[in-house]
Amino acid sequence: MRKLLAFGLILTLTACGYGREVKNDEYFDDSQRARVQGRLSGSDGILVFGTDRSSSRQQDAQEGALGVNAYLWRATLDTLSFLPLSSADPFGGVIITDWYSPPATPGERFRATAYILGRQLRSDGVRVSVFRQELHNGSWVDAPVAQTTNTDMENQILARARELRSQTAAR
Amino acid sequence: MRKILLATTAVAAAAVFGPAPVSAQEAPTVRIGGFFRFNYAFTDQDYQNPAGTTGIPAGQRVANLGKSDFTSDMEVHVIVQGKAANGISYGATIEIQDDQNREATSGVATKTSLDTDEMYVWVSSPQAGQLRFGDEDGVVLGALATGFITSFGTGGMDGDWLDNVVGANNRPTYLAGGYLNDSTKVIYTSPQFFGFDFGASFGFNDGEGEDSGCEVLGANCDRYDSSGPFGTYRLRRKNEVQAALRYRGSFAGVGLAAMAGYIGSGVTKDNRLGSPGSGEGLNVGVFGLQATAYGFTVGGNYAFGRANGGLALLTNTGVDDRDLQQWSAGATYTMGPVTVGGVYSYGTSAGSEALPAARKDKIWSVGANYALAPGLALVAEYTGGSREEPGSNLNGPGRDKTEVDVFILSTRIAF
Repeated sequence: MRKLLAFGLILTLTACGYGREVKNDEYFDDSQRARVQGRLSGSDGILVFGTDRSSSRQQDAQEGALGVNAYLWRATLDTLSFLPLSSADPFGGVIITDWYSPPATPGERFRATAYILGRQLRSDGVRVSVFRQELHNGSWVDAPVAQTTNTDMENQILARARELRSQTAAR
Repeated sequence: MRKILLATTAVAAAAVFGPAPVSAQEAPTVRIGGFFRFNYAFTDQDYQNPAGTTGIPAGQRVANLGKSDFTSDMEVHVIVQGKAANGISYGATIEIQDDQNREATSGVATKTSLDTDEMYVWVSSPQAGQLRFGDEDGVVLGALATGFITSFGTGGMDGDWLDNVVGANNRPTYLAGGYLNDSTKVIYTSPQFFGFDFGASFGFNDGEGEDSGCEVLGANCDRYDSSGPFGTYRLRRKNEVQAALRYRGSFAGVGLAAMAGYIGSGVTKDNRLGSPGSGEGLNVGVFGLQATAYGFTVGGNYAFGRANGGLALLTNTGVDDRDLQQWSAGATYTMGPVTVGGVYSYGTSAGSEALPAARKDKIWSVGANYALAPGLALVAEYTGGSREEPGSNLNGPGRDKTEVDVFILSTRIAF
């Protein structure tokens, strides 16, 4: 009877989807090879047949909760973190900030909209639009933004993304 | 706060709108992995003439031993893996090794002969768990083994040290992962539920490798079942069963793993006329506990039950058939490329069943590893051990204790 109950419990857990697949590297391995930390080849053995999906799998894992490239997403959030955030859509890849007035120049304010354009870490994978307003007679009026500002922001994001990427690769 | 809000937004969005994990079909891959090591070993051991050696005066040596030697070893692994469109993963592992330890059959088996270690095919479903078929350790001292601290030096008590020792009498026994042989078996391991996974394994006979048929019905014949009335009795394990439950979890940054397992077996039958009775199968409980935090790993393992030292079978023909009791405890600390560790093992068993006293086996080991590069390490390790049983004359007449000390410097590479 107890065995039946135990079996029933297992079936119930399985049916409810509570189980997590245990991967081979979670099992004890008594080979001498397993006792050496790391692999000269960087992966578990040298691929002699088939396609190596380990890097794309890793990327998928990182981006499992995002619709866009994880490095660009994080880099954009980091770079725009000095602005108050208005909305962030991790699937559409859109970040919209609220207006922000620097303490040094209370007569002007900025907001930015960033679009992350895909899953690849590419130099054209992010687009930033910065908006600027000036305070005239108690009301905010649109003002032009230097042409290089958007490009500078994009470069800043790309540099930060590259930094995050290299940090991950070093692990 | 902003970051928290951001994180919350992303997590909440992912939770509500995120698609369920979908795994794509993967064409099979074949990988070749390998291991090579080069050791310098300094071995200081007892080696006296065995008791009763004719023509050798008491206390005199049969031979003298040198202390230093270079040795090498290798493994080649073939790893196959793929995933079907229905989400079932599958694969096979074939491990080839240089494993003719100590020229076991003098002049016949050379120390450079290759054989297979573990070889198995596996099928795994996220919902149902994994099945393995082949030559493998079972679940207790294999897949779910826990609490054995062997991740420093060449493996500490389970490292290369014993390969340098001359004479079976001078080698203490112990229990560690992979200790029971890889007899061909079927292994099931479950998915993980709330931190728990479990498994069981079964093998009909104590034999690994290709054939079930034999040229001669001898001691190493897999399907040897029992002696005839006038035959020779060979004590072997049969119907080996293992079952284990493992828990893994994390509490305040401390990773915990615990395992409770059971190893049981039957034995071949002694049907000889006037037989003193068949031997006794294994009936052993194994418990392991391990904690990991801040670079430290601390673990211990305890085994007890009906077996002789090193999970040998009891013959039950003598005056001493006491239970096996064996424990080991150890710790490692990893800081960047450096790992240091130590382990101690102590066991009591019947030993020679003709002697009333217990056999005691002790092993202590300390070691350090330095990872020069991923997959390339330098190793220094000291391991000592002793084996003792009153009345055994292990180390010559009147000497019932043997001791051995092995110091190893090693370089090892894995790809």
